Amino acid sequence: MSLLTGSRHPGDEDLIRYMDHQLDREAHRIMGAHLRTCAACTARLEGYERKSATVSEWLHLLPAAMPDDGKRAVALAAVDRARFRRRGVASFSSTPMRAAAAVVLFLAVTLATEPGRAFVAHGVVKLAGPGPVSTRLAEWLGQDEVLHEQRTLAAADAPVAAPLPSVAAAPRVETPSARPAAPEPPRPRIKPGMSAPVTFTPAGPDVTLVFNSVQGVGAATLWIKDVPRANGQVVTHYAGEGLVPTRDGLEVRNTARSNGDYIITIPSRFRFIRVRVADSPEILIRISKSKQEWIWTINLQTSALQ
Amino acid sequence: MEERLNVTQLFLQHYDGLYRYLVRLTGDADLAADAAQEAFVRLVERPPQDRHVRAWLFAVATNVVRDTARARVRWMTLLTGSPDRAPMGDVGPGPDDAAESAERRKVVRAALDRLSWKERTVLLMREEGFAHHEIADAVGTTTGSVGTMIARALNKLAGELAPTSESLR
Repeated sequence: MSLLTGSRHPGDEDLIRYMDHQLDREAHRIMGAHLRTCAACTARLEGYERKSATVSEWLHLLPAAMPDDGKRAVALAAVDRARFRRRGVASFSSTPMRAAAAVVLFLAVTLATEPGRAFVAHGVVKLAGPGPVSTRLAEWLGQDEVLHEQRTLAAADAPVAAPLPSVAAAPRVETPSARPAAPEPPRPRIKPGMSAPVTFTPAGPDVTLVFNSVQGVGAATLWIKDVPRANGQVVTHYAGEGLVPTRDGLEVRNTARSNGDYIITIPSRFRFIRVRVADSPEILIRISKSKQEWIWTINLQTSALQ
Repeated sequence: MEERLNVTQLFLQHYDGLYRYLVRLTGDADLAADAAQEAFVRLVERPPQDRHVRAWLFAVATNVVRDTARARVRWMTLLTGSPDRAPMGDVGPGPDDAAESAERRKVVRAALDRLSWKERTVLLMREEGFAHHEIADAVGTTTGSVGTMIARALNKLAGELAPTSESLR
């Protein structure tokens, strides 16, 4: 501000900043004090205020251009594509995914060679000991001798006073009946990803989508397209969530703690989509008034149709 | 960051305003729609870390308009175009006031077109209520220069519009 740098009168840029309340408090105070005593600068300021009002008035004569629904839908679809694309990239670029990819690559390279398979079998037997899991893995890898070697070493190391040393030292021959019951395999942990598509064909003219609960995170994107059969898919973080075809449409079995996203494609031949999210009021989408490739997004936090 | 931003909500809040600003800036509804869409896609792909989202969207869309090759071609047309070019926008004039409204819009559009790119940008962003430092970010200048550009743009535009102001009212 030129007033603060010693000039006698403020420059035009200072007047504009004063008029737009863009000066800091102290500069605004100094400017105000000057304007109270300087008729010339006050006149300049009033001139700019008049010009600003005139220009603003004229600018509002330009048509209040609003995008039509088509432009808005196209833009929203592009944003949705970017979101899903980013999530896909982000999930693969995360540290756990990179680590997993490195492990898979290492195993693929290792298991392709005989020394590699022996290395893996040795490692597993050494870590887990000669149990049913390592036995099966070694058999699968064609590395039975690794097991024998390990058992021989174990027998040699066994204490003499151990009961029934002959039994302990001898390689145990396992028969299906003698083999101890294999422990229950751990329940596979579903990792984030994309569920298999679930197709459904409602019996009536309507498609009903029911979300069991309001989610903490996530959204449902409804695509209305010319497709023979409707289908739904959970995208990312679908542990504990499921899609179940019903007579009227599709039931999304989620919980309030779910955080998946859903893509549901509806054939355009249906007349309505009824969407119900937990206890929220039902949303009715008239497909006959929608365009092809139309996209609706339901924010599951608010269950408001967007 | 994208997880923290509710992009759909932001889209609903800001898309129409951004589009309106871009139509005023460019006079081209298609270009405005393209730039607005690109700004929101970039919001998803490279969200701002520490800036106000609305200002960021306007700055990005302004740069998209300025930088894309398509925009450059159209921009040259705009800079050299005749004042007779029809005003753009999706909402056309109704049959009743078509002639008068069209004449007024033509005058404003022509006056806007005679401003430089930066002058037009700062004036329209100011009209949208942005602070000078946000406008400065968008046009790549200092906050102090924004005041100078606004003063210059107001003087030019008022000079252009004042003679016709009375005759059209």
